[in-house]
Amino acid sequence: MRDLIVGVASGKVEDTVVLDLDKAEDNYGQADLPVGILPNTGEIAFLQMDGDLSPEEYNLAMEYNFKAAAEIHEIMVDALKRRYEGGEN
Amino acid sequence: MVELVPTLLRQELARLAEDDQRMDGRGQWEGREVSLEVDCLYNAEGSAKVVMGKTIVYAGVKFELRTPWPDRPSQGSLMCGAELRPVAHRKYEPGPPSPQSIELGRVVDRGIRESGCIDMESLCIVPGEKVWGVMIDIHVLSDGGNIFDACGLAAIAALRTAVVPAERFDVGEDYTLKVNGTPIMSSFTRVGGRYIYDPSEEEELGGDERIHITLGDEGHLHSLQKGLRGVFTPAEFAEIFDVAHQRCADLRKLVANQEGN
Repeated sequence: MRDLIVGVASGKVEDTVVLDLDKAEDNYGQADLPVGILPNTGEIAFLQMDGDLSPEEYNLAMEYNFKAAAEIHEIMVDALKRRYEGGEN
Repeated sequence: MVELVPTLLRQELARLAEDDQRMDGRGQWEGREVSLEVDCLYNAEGSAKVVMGKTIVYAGVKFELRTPWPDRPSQGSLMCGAELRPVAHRKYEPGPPSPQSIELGRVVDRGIRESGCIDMESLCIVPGEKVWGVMIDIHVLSDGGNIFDACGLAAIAALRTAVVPAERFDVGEDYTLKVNGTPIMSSFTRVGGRYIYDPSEEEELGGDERIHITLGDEGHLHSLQKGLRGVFTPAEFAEIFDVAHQRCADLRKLVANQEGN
């Protein structure tokens, strides 16, 4: 296994780029950018977007996604380590 | 139908990519010649035919009167569907809509819808009672590669030249549908390890993942879609994003020229 893929999404609500849209923000917001990121290589395996984003807003939304993916990746690695370090099962 | 990908084709495409070449002699970011014709279907309220190399698609627009959705009483609706039949390519089978045709219809739909070029409120006749439903039908007659861009172009050209048949439905005089913008799609496929614009049939067969980018008049993104297996880096995306801006602007001019005729 080369990496742990992280699914994360950002978007735009009331002209502001935001991370992690809730249901209302997703339904009534201006854009939605979900991606699948491989944090070890920095590659993108899944990409979808709809709404309205300028190139600058896209770059900012992607920056948020990559930052969040790195954080979530750490939590995932940590959870796996805890599961197997203890030796139970 | 499962398509066999000949190892020799992949090797040849990789060899060409190393020398910065393509099978048909095009440059990495060079598209095929595109011909666009509008008003080509007698029974449609708007129509367009696009030919890109061996790819041929038609799009037609029809209108219906319907009751609005209860949660959006003052808004009309937009529907966009694509058909991929055996006549287009031997890889398509007869029967119910395939995952490929559903994806194609949705990606074209999203680009147009999310650009906001159709003001749904302008399709309202009597709030809560009567609104226009706009239907875009896309038919691929020949798949010679990159049907996404061809379908996106045909759809927006058909829409921008559509006339609302109000007289026939007894709700006023006919008028040209108001479309505020020309969203255009640009598609890229990884072939021989690198991305190229406007893949041909062979390049799609021997290539890997694809990325579809729909841009509005101001260069804003309205839809992104990645298809098939494969990964890409942000740097690779930045490069094709730049190219997409130029190619979309070229195709937008083509639509504007047709409207003038």
